[in-house]
Amino acid sequence: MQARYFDGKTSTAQAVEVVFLDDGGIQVTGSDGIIRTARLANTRVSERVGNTQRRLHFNDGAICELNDNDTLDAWLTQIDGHSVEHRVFRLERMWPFAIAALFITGLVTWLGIRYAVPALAARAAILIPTTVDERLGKESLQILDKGFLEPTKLPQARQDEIRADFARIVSGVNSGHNYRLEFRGGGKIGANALALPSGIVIMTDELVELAENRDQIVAVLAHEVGHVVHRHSLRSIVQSSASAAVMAGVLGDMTSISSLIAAAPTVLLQAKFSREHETEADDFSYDWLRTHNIPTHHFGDLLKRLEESHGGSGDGHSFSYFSSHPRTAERIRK
Amino acid sequence: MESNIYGTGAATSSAANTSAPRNEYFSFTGTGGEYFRIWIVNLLLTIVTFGIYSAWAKVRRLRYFYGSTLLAGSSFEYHGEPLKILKGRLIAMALIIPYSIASNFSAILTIVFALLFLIALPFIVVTSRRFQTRMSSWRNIRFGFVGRYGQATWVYLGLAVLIPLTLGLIIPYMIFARQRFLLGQAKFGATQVGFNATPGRYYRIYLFALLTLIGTVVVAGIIVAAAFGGLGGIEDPTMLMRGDRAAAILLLAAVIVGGYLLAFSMIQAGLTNAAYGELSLAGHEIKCDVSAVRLAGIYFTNALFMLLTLGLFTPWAKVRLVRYQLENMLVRVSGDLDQFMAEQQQQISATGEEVGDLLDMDFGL
Repeated sequence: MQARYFDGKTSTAQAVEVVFLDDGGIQVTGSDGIIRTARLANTRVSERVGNTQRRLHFNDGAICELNDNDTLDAWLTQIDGHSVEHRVFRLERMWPFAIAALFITGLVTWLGIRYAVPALAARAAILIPTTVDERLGKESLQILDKGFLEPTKLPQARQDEIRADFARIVSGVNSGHNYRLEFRGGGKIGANALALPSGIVIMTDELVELAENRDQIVAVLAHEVGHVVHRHSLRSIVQSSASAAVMAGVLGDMTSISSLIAAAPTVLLQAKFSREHETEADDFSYDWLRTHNIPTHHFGDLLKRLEESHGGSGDGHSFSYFSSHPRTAERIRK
Repeated sequence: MESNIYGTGAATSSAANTSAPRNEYFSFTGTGGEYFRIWIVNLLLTIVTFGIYSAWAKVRRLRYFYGSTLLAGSSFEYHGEPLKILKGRLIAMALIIPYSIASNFSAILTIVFALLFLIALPFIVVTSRRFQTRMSSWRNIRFGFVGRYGQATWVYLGLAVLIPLTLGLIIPYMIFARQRFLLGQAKFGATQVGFNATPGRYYRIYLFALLTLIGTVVVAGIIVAAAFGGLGGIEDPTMLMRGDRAAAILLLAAVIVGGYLLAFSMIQAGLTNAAYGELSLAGHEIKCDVSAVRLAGIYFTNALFMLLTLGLFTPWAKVRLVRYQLENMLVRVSGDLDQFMAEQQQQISATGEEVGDLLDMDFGL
C-alpha cells in the first residue's frame, strides 16, 4: 500500500510503497529502491482508534504513516499479529455494542446511586459517632429562630403536659442523643414539627392547635424522634455527597456545563430518598403507638388535618416527584 | 504503478512549493458518532474495572483527537503509555487522599498541605507541560518544552501575589505571561516556538468582556425597574415566582444568561485567538480566528442538547467544539514544512502530568 515515510530526524516526507509479507516481514520501497525491511516482531504498530492514521514504528525511530486501516488489519489478522487492545477497537466499532454499553453503564450508575449509596450511607452512619449529629444540629435552632420561628404562645400547663408525653417516648430510646422538646410559634411555616439531628424536636403552636387530642400529638412526636434515631440528617448528607461523587466520576471528562445535568437526576433521587426517610420515621411512630396501645389511626388523622391546613385537597393525593413526603393516603394506610 | 496521493517523486519537498506563501489548513476528521462509541466503551470498561482502565481510556481518547487532527496530510500522534499513566495516577492519588482526609480534621494540616502545594506548583506545571509536549508529535518529530522553574514560579506565584495589590488589574497581564510561558517555551523538534502576542491584546479582550457584563447588568436593571419598580419592589424571593410577572422574569433570565455566555465566549475566543493566532515557527505563522458569537452559539446548543439527552450528547458536543476551533486555524507556510529537525530524546516521568491531570489543571493544547 502507499504510505509516507518519516525518518524521525527531519519532517521531510517520503512517498513509499509498503508491502506486507506472509511471514510477518515488512518491506518499504521508495523511488530509489528498498529503503528498509523489518519484521512485525521488532516493529510497533500503533493501535487503531476509529479510522485515524496509523503508524509502523521501526526500531530506529523511523515511522511509516498509513491511511489504509483495513488492509493493515487484514494482514495482522492473517498473521495473528493483533494486540489485546485491538479487541477494544472491535467493540468500539459495533453500534449495537455501544448501545448496549450505554444501557449497562446507565443501569449500573442508577443502581449504584439508587441502592448502593443509601445502603452504604446507612452503614457508614453507624460508624460515625453521635457527637457529629450534635454539631450538625447546634446552630440550626438559632438560624430557625432568627428567620422563621417566633416565641411560643402556648400556656405553660399545656407545654408541661406535652413534655411529659415526650419524656415517655424518649425514655425508651437509647440512641445516645440529648433529646429536648422546644415549642415555637410557627410563623411562616405554620403547623409543623421538625427534628434537628442533635435530638432537639421543635413543635409549633399551630400544630398543637390543629391536633384534636393528646394521642395525635404523641404520634407526631414519635415520628420526629424516629428521624433522630435513624440519623436521617447524617445519612442524607452522606448520600448526597456520595451520589455527587459517583456522578462526577462517571461523567468525569465533560465540561463544567455537565455539573448541571448531573444535578438534575440527583435532585429527583434526593427527593425519593427523603420520602423513604419519612416512611422510616412513620414506621417508628406506628411501632411505638402499637407498643403503647394507642390506636394508630390518630397519626393518620392528624396527617389529614395537616394536609388540609397546608392547602392540599384533603383526599391525601397531592404529590409530585419533587415531594419530600410520600402521599398522605399511603402514610395513613398503616 | 499508479501515482499515489502523495506525489510520484521521492519527496514532497519539490521546488515548486517554495515559490509563494501558501496556507495549510488544519482539519478535523473525527465525528461525534465515532467518538461516541469510543467514549461509551471507555466509560463502561472504566466502571467495570473500578477505574483502572481510565489510563487506557485517556490514551484512546487523546489518540483519537490527536489522530483526527490533520495538517498537510499528516495527523498528530499522542505517545502516552497507559501503564505509565496508571502508575502516575496511583502516585497522585496517594498524595491527594491524605490531604482530603486530613483537611476534614485539622485546619493546620490543611494550611500546611496548601502551602506545600503552592510551592510545588511551578514544578508541577513545568513537569506536566514537558511531559504533555513530549508525548505529542507530528511527522515523527516530537514537541518539547524548555521553560524553567524560575520562570514558572514568577508566572504562577509571583504575579498571582500582585493581584490584590493591583486590585485585579494585573490579571490580563498574568494570563498573557502564562500563555507566553506555556507556548513560547515550547518547541517543535529543535525549533523554538515564537510567541508574538502583546499584553495589550489581552487587556482589550478582558475590557470588552467587562463592558459586555456591565451592559448586561444595565439591561437587567432596566427590566427589573420596569417590572418591579426597582429592586426595592422585590420584597422576598417568592415574588420572583409570580405568574403575572412571568414574561419579565423570563426576559430577565434570558438577558442574564445570554450576557454572561457572551462575555465568557468573548474571553474564550479572545484567548484562543491570542494564543494561537500569533505563533511563529521558523518563518511559518500560525493563524487563528475564532468568533465569540459562533462560540457562544456552540456552547449554548451544546448545553441545551446535553441537558435534553441527559449527557449523552457529550461526545458530539466535544467534537463540535474541537472541530470549530481547528477549522479556524491555519498555518501560513513560507517555503515548505520539510525542514524541521528533531531534538535529542529525553526520558520524562509520567508523574508530573498525572498530578496535574488529577488536580484538573489544563495547561492548554
